[in-house]
Amino acid sequence: MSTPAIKSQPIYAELEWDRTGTHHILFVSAEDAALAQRLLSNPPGGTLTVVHLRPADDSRSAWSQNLPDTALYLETHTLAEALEVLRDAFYVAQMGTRIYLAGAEDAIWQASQLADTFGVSRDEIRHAQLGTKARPVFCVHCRTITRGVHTNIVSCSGCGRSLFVRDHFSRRLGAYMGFQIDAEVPGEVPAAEVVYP
Amino acid sequence: MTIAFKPDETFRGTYTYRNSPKGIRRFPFPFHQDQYMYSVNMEPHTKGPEGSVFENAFDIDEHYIAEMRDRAITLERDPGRCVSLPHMMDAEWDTLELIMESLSRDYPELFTLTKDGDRWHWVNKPLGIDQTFTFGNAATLPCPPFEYITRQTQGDFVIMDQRDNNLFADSGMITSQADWSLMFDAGMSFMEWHGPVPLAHELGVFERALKYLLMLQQGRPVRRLNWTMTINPRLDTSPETYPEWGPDRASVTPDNVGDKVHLRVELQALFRLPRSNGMLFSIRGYLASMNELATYPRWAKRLHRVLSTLPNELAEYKGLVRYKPTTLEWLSKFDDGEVLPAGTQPE
Repeated sequence: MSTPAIKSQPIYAELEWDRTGTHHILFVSAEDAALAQRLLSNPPGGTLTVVHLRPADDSRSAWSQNLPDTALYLETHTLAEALEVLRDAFYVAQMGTRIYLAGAEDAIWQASQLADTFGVSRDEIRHAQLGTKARPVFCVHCRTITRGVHTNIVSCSGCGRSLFVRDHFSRRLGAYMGFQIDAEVPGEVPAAEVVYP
Repeated sequence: MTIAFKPDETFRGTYTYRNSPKGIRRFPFPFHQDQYMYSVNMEPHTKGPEGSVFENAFDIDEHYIAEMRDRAITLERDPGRCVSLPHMMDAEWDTLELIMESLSRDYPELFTLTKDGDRWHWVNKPLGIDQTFTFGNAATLPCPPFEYITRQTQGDFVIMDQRDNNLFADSGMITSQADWSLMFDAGMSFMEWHGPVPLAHELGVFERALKYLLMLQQGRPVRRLNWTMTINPRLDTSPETYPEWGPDRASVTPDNVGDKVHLRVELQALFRLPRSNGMLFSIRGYLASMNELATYPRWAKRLHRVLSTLPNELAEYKGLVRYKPTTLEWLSKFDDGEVLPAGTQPE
């Protein structure tokens, strides 16, 4: 489990089924064979929809095996497509639906924003960080989100400023805050280091 | 009581903001002791001494007209400084009602409110506003009710929605903040919103504060003081505009510290709202330059001691690191080592 530097940074618990739910929607965008095996071998009661974002190759994914017979498995190949499919799943979701989002933070928090638009409350949704630790970074100056950031300092894809990547995280925006690191003394920019592999 | 407004003073560019001697005297100096640390320093927001900033629910002072103009400038540059999530409309009306009733009761010579059922008539004399509208019908106001009334009230405002035993910052009018972003923090829970504050979480401050606030009752507001420092009398020290004001922090010299360095105190008050069960959080800011504060040597001595013992994490979080040594050097001239009894009084 991650130890957050500050309280807004998400804590990801081990993903478990919420067995108080009667319908379950699982979105996964990264491989984790052990987790897939553990979850799918002991599925919850009620319906299960799996929206899977996977690379368009033939490799077998643990998320597409051992699925319960009753599960609806939906394979997608881009995040945009996965979010569309997820939107449809949320659209028809009934009372008692529980949502599980597992993958890189960029993907799961975009999915989470989508769930928010359907009025899903925080306790009906569970998040798990899998795969890359790369961060989506919201530039507080120009409001552009720079995605897939591995370093502590990054050039904003919107305004080009050198942004320091904070641990302060907004669930609503699905991103960490970035602010100009050399605002006080322009040009004083330390070398960036890879800290989010 | 009459207030001599200073409508032409500025909080950017020429920075002509100054406090009158009366303004300095009522400045809410926040340090009771020679050391500062976070605490749940909340007390009932009851009527304080006449002329003090605690006299009324929402304090109006000599800077009112100028501050409202500065807010309008900031909003014109960045409308995102006023955010209200869609489910907050009841709380918006609650806020408008609370502020209009308070201001017209506390400053009858400046504001009047007359009600004929749902037909309300609001007059704001200092800003030259005369508005008739239907309470509960947003279409009868020139902008949504929360924005409407907070464009006419000094201080920043957040409305927190209470649900799931937590408070969420779901509306805000934030144009004079100490370096936090409404655009980024909107929708956050109480703990998330205060996430970046150092040390206080470890002390359990926010946990206790949240517990206390969840039980807040209507008609029994509470208040506390918070503080930071600002270079130049600038209201808009937001993360959004940090590239504009950040360089000021590197501009402090022994010659200009008295004029440039300001103590910034926030009188924070929390009010339970009746219909929405939300909570209005008012953050009323006061700025005083080192020169102004030092007109009362007791304050200069106290501030010298507080700053010299401030934990590094706090100095860093408050952005004081670059100019703290120069400021301390300047303040040390006033500190003869006299033992100061507890209390915030100027003399």
